[in-house]
Amino acid sequence: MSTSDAGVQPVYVVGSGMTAFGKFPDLALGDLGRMAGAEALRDAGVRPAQIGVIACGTARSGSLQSRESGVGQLIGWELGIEGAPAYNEKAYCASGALAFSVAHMALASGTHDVALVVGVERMSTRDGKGRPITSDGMVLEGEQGFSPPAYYAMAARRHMEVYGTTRSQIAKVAVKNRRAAADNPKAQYRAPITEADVVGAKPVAGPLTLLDCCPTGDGGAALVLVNARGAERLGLDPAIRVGGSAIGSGYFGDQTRSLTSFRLDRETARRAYEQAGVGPADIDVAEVHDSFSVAEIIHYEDLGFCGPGEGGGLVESGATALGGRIPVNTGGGLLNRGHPLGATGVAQLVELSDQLRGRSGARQVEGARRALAQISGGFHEGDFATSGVTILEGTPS
Amino acid sequence: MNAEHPERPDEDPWDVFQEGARRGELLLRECGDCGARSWPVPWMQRCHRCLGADTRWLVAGGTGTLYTFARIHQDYHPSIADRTPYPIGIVDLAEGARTGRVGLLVEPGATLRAGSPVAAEFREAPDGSTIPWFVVR
Repeated sequence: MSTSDAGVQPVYVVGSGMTAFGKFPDLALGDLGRMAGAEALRDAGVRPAQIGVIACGTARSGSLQSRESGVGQLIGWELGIEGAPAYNEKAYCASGALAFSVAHMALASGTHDVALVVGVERMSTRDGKGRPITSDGMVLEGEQGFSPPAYYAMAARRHMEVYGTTRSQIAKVAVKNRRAAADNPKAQYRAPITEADVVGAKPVAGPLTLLDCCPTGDGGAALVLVNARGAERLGLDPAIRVGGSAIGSGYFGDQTRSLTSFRLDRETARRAYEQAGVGPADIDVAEVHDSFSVAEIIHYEDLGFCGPGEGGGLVESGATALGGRIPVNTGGGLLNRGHPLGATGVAQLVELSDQLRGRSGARQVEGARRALAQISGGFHEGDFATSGVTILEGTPS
Repeated sequence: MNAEHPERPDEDPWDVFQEGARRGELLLRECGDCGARSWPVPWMQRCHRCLGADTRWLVAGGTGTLYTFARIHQDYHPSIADRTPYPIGIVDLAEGARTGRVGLLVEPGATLRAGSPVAAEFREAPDGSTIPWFVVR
């Protein structure tokens, strides 16, 4: 593939914010987006009138909240941003990453200079409550039990069969990420859990239990981005540069359904690494899409943090825990920070921005300079429908 | 062929697959151009691999081996509520195609594991539809 992702203007993250993730029946979609956006604007020291473009990610605002279009426009209005274009991105669980990518393209190309990225979702109070939430195109399959947990349960079974990955190693992902969430006041689930708790929890799709599965919830996350021209005009001294930003759509024609590796993630990561001019060994801290515990193990391998089949051993060694060689999901991951679908892709970058600015408190990765976020959304014929990989770099101050 | 849209066959492959199931036949798509055999994809008219239009139907023997599986513990649908927890899986068919997710029936004494031999069986669901199940022997 000859996709060129690099733009002409360097792009920087200058502000971040997010709501707590959880179940907030009193907060509307607009409230969640406005709260996150206002925090990011305050953090950046940027006024609403200075925003040139809005990019907003929501996955299911139409089916869950009966608001298919206009979420970005609504949030912009509530923040006092007038006249700016608002692009609404819908790409399953990767919607927030798509919104980030659109803003990045707008700034890298020089079309706009200052952008607000918002990811938001409201799931606890929704249309069709009580019915399973499935990916678009999988509604019938969902009714028959072919839900996302079932998919990842089959992936877990295959990984165990082929590589000898153990149930204990898979559970260790959930325990590690809960431990990280204990130090994140915005995480949805923070009380410590043990491996026995995970294995003994209510079965959902064997071998996975409730504690192997991310929750549903409500939340918003936001970033303010500028390009070099925007930074100069606003008098900002950015601390974080976007090293690589890649989005891809799946290789459906392969129809391999291997479930132990996803070609789209491997290819998208390769493009992001190429843009940033770095490799997996250069990454100091990462956020990956642990929608289910076993997914994190597969992502380690597809991102090159270890070789194929070595993901179970990697988590068991402690290398991906805080203090390890490459801490993963220091904010608690989707499993514990929570997974309000469209908000997650942006929340991952909020966590990494805090890490690169040295303000993560008890969960700070010392000396973190390069950070990677990976997200995957939807399934189709054995590959992810879409994936995103973003690499952020701290700039020497 | 559809007169208004010559590129589009009259029938959705998934409908053809289900009609086959009602007759007790497990149908696969086979490409005349590249030879790929595939589990039919709803609304996908062409070969999944080379996108060639010369596809035909192949009646599969229905035997294969289990690639992977999971046990579903939630009641999703009235037609299968009495079976919970029930196993689902992905099967490698003898013809060389890998299925999408299918329901499994485990015979007494059989071992549910990757590599277990399986055979298709057609049973009518309470809603009147006929779906292929794969029996693990």
